[in-house]
Amino acid sequence: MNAGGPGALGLETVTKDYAVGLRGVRLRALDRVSLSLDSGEICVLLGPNGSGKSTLLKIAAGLLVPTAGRCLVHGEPAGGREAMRRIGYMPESPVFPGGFTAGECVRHYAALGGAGGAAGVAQADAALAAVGLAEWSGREARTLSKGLTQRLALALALVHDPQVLLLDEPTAGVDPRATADMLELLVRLRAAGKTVVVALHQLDQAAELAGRVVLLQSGRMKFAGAWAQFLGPVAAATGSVQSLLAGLRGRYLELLDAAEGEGGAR
Amino acid sequence: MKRIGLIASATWRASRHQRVFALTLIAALLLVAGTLWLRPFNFGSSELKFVADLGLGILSLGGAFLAVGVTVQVFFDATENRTLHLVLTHGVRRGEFILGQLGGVVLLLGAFTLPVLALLWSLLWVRETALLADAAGLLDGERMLRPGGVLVAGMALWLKACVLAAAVLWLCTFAGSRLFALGTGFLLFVVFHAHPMLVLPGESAGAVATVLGWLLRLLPDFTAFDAAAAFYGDGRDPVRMTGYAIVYVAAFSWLAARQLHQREL
Repeated sequence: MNAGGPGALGLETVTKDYAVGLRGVRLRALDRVSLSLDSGEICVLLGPNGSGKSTLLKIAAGLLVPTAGRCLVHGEPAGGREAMRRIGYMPESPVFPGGFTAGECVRHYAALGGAGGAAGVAQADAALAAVGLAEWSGREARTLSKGLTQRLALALALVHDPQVLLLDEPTAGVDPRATADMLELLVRLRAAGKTVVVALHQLDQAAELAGRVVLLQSGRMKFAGAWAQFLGPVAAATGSVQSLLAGLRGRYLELLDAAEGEGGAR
Repeated sequence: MKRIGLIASATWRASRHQRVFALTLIAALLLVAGTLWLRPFNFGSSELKFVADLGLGILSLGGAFLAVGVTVQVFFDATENRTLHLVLTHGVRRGEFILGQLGGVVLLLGAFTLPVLALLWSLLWVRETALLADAAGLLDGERMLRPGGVLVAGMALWLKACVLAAAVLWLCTFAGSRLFALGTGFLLFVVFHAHPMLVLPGESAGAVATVLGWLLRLLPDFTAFDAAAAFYGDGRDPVRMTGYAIVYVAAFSWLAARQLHQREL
């Protein structure tokens, strides 16, 4: 991973301090983090709660300004109009307001991104179809299940066809089937040339994506490299672990499908 | 401008679905209708004046309740539910977000003021017609109620609520909790009404007291939106009143946008 070079996303010795409490005590959320990603790469951010994953994503999305260092999206400073057009951001566990259907939500964000009228409708329909939500577009967004809500949030991130996707725990609280769908979708997006940066907690999900890994702790980058490097000495066992995980998921889905079949037969 | 309109329309739509709006509107309509039954407790005022004053009071309090309650709710919903994050990453500027949210609340306040004012006017018109019929031959038949006065009174209350909503939105941008914003918002309503009591300190006052006195005088004066005076046609200038409100709405919106820029999301 090259530090600071031009690419889809580049962080150059980024530091972020938060002022906490009435006295404004400084809390360092990110400490001189450098990272460079090219188009078509998946980068998995791993680390315990409070390690700085969300802060890193928010800085890349232009929502937070770094205390030191800089962040570039396709060479443009994060937070600027041009950079905003190129990124799609999915926050952690968003909640949608009442009274809007899923389709209306996506059309609203398409219009905010500058695509109104027929173009906006076409973009919204494409985004809904991409995340497999087309048949749910008429359903009120607030009543969607957690998995479908996460998919809707991803559709909002995708609606203006960005080149860089920043996803904050897209599988949090989602059942195994919806998780598998989400991970498969991320792999498809990478194949379509998108750069995907995703914060995760589950190592098995990171294994499935098998992209670049950035491990953060207390704002410091503890590891940055390819998945194979991350595995290190346990690489030899990877085949069996991955096949075990894949087998478990397969068994789970098989049982679910069997139960559905029996339910339908009754 | 288009983005502001889109956020205003989404805010208006989301806030319309909140129970607080429907409940406040229904309560205000019931209370205004109920003034007819409270006529015997008029403390010596004329019947129509009593009903009008009570109705305008209900409209003012209901408007203030919505201006504070709904503004706090829509702002904190947007930040806590991360709608703000989504909106900002779709190219919307923070100032546009503030103006859009305020636009939605302003529409909602209009949707509250219009039906309540219409009901109040209808009640007064019916009672005045009945009173004039009872006193046929004794009075010259000239009506006290003038449509222009009623409209200006409604506009005054709506503008007052809009200024309060803008001030509360600014509060929200640095408030740490909904409760703080709600409590301080209602306090602002009282302070803005008490503006005439904020007298400038005398020459003997210290520098701090003098500066504080002048700063307090910069706050909006809600007696400028005297709906009762407008109702009885004492020549309140609606254009001047609107200009006064626009200055304060613009100032509070600017402060809110500035503060939101500095807020860590």
